Amino acid sequence: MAEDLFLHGVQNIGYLLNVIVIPLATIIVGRKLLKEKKATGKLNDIRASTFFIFFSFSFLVLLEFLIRMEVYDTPLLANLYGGNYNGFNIYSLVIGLIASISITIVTLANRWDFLQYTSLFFYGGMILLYAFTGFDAFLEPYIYFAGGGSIIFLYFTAFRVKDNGALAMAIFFTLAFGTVILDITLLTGFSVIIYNIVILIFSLGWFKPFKQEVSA
Amino acid sequence: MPELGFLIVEIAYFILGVISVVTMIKHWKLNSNRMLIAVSIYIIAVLVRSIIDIAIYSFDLNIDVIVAGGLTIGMILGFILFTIQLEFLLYLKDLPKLYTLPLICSLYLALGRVLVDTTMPFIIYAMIVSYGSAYFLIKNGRKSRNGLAIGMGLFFLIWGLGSTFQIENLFVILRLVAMMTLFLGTRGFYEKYVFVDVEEEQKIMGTWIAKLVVKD
Repeated sequence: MAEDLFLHGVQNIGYLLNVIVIPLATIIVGRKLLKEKKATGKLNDIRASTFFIFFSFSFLVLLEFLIRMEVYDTPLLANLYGGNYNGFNIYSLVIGLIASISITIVTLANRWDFLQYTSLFFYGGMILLYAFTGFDAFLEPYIYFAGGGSIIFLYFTAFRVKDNGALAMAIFFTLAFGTVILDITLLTGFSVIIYNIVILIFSLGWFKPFKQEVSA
Repeated sequence: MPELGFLIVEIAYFILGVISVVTMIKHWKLNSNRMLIAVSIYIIAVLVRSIIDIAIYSFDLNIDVIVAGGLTIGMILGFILFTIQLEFLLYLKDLPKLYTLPLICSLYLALGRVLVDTTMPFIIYAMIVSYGSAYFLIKNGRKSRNGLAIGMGLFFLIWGLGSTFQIENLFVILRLVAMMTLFLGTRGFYEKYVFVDVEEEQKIMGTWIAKLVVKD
């Protein structure tokens, strides 16, 4: 009983933190993006991609909060949300999008120009194919593959070019995808709390394990 | 015996293609223009398809062998050609970030053809690729007074018309007409007879008016 209460408490803290921290980080990153755009006149691709990841994640956690905390839990919304990645629903669609953009960040950081939009094209094609034929067998392997691949390459990029942003994103993705793949309540609960802390530190610009960053 | 007629047209098409490629490679050796080599590679791919067609008409082969679902070998060859065509266009437009798009498009269209028995997406894709390429090449060819670009643009336009109608007789004839327009482009026909040299024309006009004035 006490154990259940504890697990439930950790989970609820995680949900609450998600709802507060992720949108807050989105706003902070968005402001930085606009500020940089005003100063330089150019849109920083990596920062813009990071913003889109946070924005998508914010949308997902807000929706999840509404459904899980029974604030606005209509059968239609719950059905659309899905909450799994076995087929196309809002949850899997956004997770797939996040995985695709994270691959884009890897290609941007490594300056692999010809691969820059490949993951987005591939994912877009998958959505169109589903829309016209109902075929969605590629989605689940794609999420695992793109999620896992982006994590490995983000760590690789982070240590290769000593990039704090890439490392923060790598830690965030490890914990976030970990919660998606491993459905163990206690582990998931703590992972959510930790990645929220990492994201908050990163978006405020305090995450600097590499003192001197070396450009690629 | 329509096959014999098709064979003669196909052989003429092949010979014109070979002469065009040889001419372009000769020019390329002289001026190292990258467009010439890009066009040559594309035409070589077209000629490989032509060899297969010659074999089909000569030995009465059937390439409408179904691979899976509604996907035939003929359609796979079509997808390969359209992929190369789109790659060629992206190369000319200097868009390396989109280099993987044609491959992904073809992959999903082929998969869609396996799942759903309709040729409509293939025809739409062929139209977009052919007419898009034709528009870009003819527009730029006119602007830069480049006969080869005009020839290539007309080639895509006429070939695209053939692909759109999907009537074998018309397609075979239009392909020959398309190759003729390209052949003329490689021989400098458009520079000589189509583009009007404004300076030269003004000189002639000036002389003509001058003569009139003197007469008066």
